[in-house]
Amino acid sequence: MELGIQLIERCIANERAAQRQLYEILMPYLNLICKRYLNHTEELQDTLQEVFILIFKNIRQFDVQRASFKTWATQIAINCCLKNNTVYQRKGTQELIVPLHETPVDPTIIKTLSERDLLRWLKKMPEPYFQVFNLYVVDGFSHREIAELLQIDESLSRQRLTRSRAWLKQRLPEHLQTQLHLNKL
Amino acid sequence: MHYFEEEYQKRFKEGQSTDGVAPDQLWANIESALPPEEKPKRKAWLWVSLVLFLIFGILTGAYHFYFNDKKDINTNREVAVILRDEAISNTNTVNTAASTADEQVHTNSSLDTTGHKAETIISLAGDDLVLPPPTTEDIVVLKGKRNGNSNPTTVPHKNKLIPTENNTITNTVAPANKHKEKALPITLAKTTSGISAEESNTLAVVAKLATSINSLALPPRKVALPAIVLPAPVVGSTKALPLSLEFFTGISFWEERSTGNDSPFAQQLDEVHKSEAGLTTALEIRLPVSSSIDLISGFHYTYSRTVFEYTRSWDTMIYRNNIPGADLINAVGLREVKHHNSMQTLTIPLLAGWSSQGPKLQLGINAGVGLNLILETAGRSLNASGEVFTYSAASAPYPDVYLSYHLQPHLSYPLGQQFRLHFRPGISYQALGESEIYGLKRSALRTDWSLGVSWRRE
Repeated sequence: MELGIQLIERCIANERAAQRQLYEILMPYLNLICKRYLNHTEELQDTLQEVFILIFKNIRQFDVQRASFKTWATQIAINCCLKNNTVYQRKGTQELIVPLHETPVDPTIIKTLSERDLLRWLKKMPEPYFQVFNLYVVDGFSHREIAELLQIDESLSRQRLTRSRAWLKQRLPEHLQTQLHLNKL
Repeated sequence: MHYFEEEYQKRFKEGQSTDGVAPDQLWANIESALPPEEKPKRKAWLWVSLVLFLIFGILTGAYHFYFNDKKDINTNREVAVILRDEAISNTNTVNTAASTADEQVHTNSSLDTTGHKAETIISLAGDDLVLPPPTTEDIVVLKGKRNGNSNPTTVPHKNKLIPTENNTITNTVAPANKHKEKALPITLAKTTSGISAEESNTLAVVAKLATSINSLALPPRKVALPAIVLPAPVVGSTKALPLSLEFFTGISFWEERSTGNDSPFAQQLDEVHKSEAGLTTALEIRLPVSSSIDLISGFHYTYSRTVFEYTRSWDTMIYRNNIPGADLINAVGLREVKHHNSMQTLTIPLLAGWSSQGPKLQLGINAGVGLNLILETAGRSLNASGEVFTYSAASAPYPDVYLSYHLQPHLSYPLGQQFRLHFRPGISYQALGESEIYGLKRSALRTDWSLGVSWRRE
């Protein structure tokens, strides 16, 4: 994804053609990020809309010396998703206790799953675990950054990552097989 | 477990998907929430500058071609100044025993017309330049007389000084235009009394010939510029270099100076060469090295012009009262010659550029060196002995190749998405080096005033 400085300058100048160009470049990427972080897929379109409006309205604050534009846009998308998750959070409590015994993982099954199926399955993980798992494993945030982002302690971030991994280890094989069976049907 | 995390990261880190959204509808929603786009204001001054730029380009082009066509004809601008007249019609002889040059100096400003009345001056030997008479008398100048002296006495035109060694009234000056000279076979010096009707007719024919020769046009001298080769695109590369192509055109002024020498000859040489407006065009490639530093190279073509001014003495045969057949007198004239020197140079610059981007305007400065190749040059100058000589590319007092040092501040304004309008004054030091003809080290300061447009690849 190549984003020229001149394109960003034109977006700052509120040139509609440049904004559309930037939207077309960023949308597929941010769409997948929102899909990962949003708990409720029905909010995807509204969240993406909000993300892009925030990007265009705050684009003057982008500092090329600090991070790439993609990183900056990703940060906005994640913040927006987490905020929307909080807003639309369903009332109720979730059981966070995970058994510590593990079962072996069959690596070959994972490759056969589509991104959509993989996400659908992973989202069965408790939301706080999945948030930390995504932030740490995929987006490369440190525990300190995750703690700031989610407004939790660093130790809790570490704990949630451990528990997300434990959740995966415990459930990965049988769930994947079930999912594959369903897909074939 | 580690394998799963790697696989998961690989799929989602750089993954893209448009599933679950309608891109056009989403964009419509986004657009409705954005502040309305400001239509670019067609500022009057921008259009005016564009029109001026076009006019300027056309004029400079026309100017360039005009001088290419007329260079061999209009090199001399002559002024016949009557310094002294003698040998009035009573004697009807040409007085070849002239007074000394000192006398000529003293009589330059106040001509001794000895009470004769004249009306107009018509120069047949030089160009068709008609100037107001130096005195109340008008004099018909027929032609300079030539005696074949191989060592003409010439003095650079400095404060209108007159030759100091010309003790005889002779016209040893070859006309600037050799074509004209060959076409004037008739000597008009008369030693007999009066002029017959037949001779008057002959003079009229000569006058016609001289006029028709002035209209001769020489074929334009054309110099082919070397083809500009752009770097070939890299096959298989998906990342395009963010380079810019820039084109500039403008006027340039060439001020030539002696370096490190204060001798009278060096000063004289500096004073006899005057700067004239020339033409400069440039095609450049700008390659960004960092966010504010660029590397610039390309081709600069410069058509530099200077005027070499000097004076020569000559004899004239004149009729009084502008009536052919009237009293014939012999006089000493002073020819002021303005010779237009020209030089065409191709420069390959290697510059580093710094620029600072404002909301609209971009300000920057380029600095670096240039390798200069003289394509063609022609003109006149003084040699080490103080004599006027004519040179061409083969015998020019310049090296074929030399270095120059450039400083170019520039200001640009965006024109659309990828184009910018540039204004670039520039100054460059031309290290011409030691000249064997002059026996001096010479250099030149070239100032350019250019407008240009650039196109940037995204």
